[in-house]
Amino acid sequence: MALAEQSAQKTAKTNGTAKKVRSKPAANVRMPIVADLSNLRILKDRFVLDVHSGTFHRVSETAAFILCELKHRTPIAELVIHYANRYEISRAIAERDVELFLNDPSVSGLPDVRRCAS
Amino acid sequence: MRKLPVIAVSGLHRGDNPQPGSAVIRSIRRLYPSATIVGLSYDPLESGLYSADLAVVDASFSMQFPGVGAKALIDRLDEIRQTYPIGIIIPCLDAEIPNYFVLSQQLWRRKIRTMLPTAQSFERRSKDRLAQLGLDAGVAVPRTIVAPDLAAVYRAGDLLGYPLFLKGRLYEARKVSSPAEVAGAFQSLISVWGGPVMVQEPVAGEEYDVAGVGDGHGDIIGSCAIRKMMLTNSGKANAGIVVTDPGLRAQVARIIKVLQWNGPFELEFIRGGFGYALIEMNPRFPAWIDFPSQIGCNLPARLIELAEARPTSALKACEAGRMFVRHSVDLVGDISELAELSVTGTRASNSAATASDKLGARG
Repeated sequence: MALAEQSAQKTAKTNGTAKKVRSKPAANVRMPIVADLSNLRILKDRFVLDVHSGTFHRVSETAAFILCELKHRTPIAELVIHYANRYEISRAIAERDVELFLNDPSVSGLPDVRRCAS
Repeated sequence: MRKLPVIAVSGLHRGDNPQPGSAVIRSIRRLYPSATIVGLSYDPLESGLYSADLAVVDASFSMQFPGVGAKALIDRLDEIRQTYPIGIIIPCLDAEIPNYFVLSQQLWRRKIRTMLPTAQSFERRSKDRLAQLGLDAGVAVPRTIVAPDLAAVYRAGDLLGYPLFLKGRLYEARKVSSPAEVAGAFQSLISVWGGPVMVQEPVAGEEYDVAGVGDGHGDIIGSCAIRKMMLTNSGKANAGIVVTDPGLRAQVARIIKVLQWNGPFELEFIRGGFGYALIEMNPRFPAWIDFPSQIGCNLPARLIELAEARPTSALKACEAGRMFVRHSVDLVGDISELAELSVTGTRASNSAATASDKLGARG
């Protein structure tokens, strides 16, 4: 998730102010249906507890943001928009970040995140 | 409200392989600080005998090992009853329980309640019959072969492959990585616990424990499920976190329903990619039972209330994320206490006031 943060920082550095770049989602990015993450509890914005398995994970702020959105059953397309707005990055970068997060092998430690239909 | 009868509790040693007795006593005293509780001890160095806090005992009595038989047990209980008229016994060691089945009628005549399952339920959950219980309850159980002798263990190893676990009839398990280790592991188990030995395939995953009380009619009065976060060298939970998995709860409910289980239980599972596998069912509270007592689910106190048919305290559902970490403290004693128990078989509380009086005075 450093990608979004790096992008946001780069934008701020080059322009002095954060720029909001709006773009359409790339046509070839598949938007999976959101999974049910009601068993995840997010604590202190960086800590995730799975109440079913009792496993817990320290995550980055951006990962916690995505998980929180998924927990609230935000459709992926909308999540991308929220993410882009939150970190003031382009929609394309946001899509890539979200897709990378969902495809990250380490995310498999968090049950149900990968259980998305395409 | 009428006073509680004298409660006798065994299994008072803590350490790196803790027994449940002291945790049971602490739980009872959280709600009933003035309860009279006596310890039934097999060793004068059982650490719980030296507790001065919530786990304090009003008196302790040395007992003969369960293997001596039921007659020795009832004779000793009758001696104890001369000074402490026991009304409830909570056995906390698996090896003790068969004697209590043998004595059920005699205990009933003496108005001593034990809140134990039936002998049939007890046998159905034994290690050598766990696979059948799993089938009956629709719960996965690792492949297990009962081995009465060394040759059978080798045959089981050929079938299951290595590594595997050898488990004693009542306690202990040894991981065996090759046939070369079988004989030593087998001998160490059988010489202490007798036969048969269980040969079980290893199951990879996280360990989960569920403690609870069955009502004898297929339902669960209360329970608490944890994932073991830290293990001691002997595989005991040194830290745990409450989980609330409906899938796990359903499996526990099916097991208790099939057995029509009465009294305390501890169910041990491994959770891997396949789901949950039942490893063991113990017919008593686990050593961590005081943890749920501290978060509103006091199962030992509820057991006492059921035994006495008195109004029950509320049992809160254990909230996911609550956790415990085990901490060891040094208890102070005096050699005179050890000497008294060793020589006379009895050790009363050290001061004129009983332990329960002191706790009651503290409020």
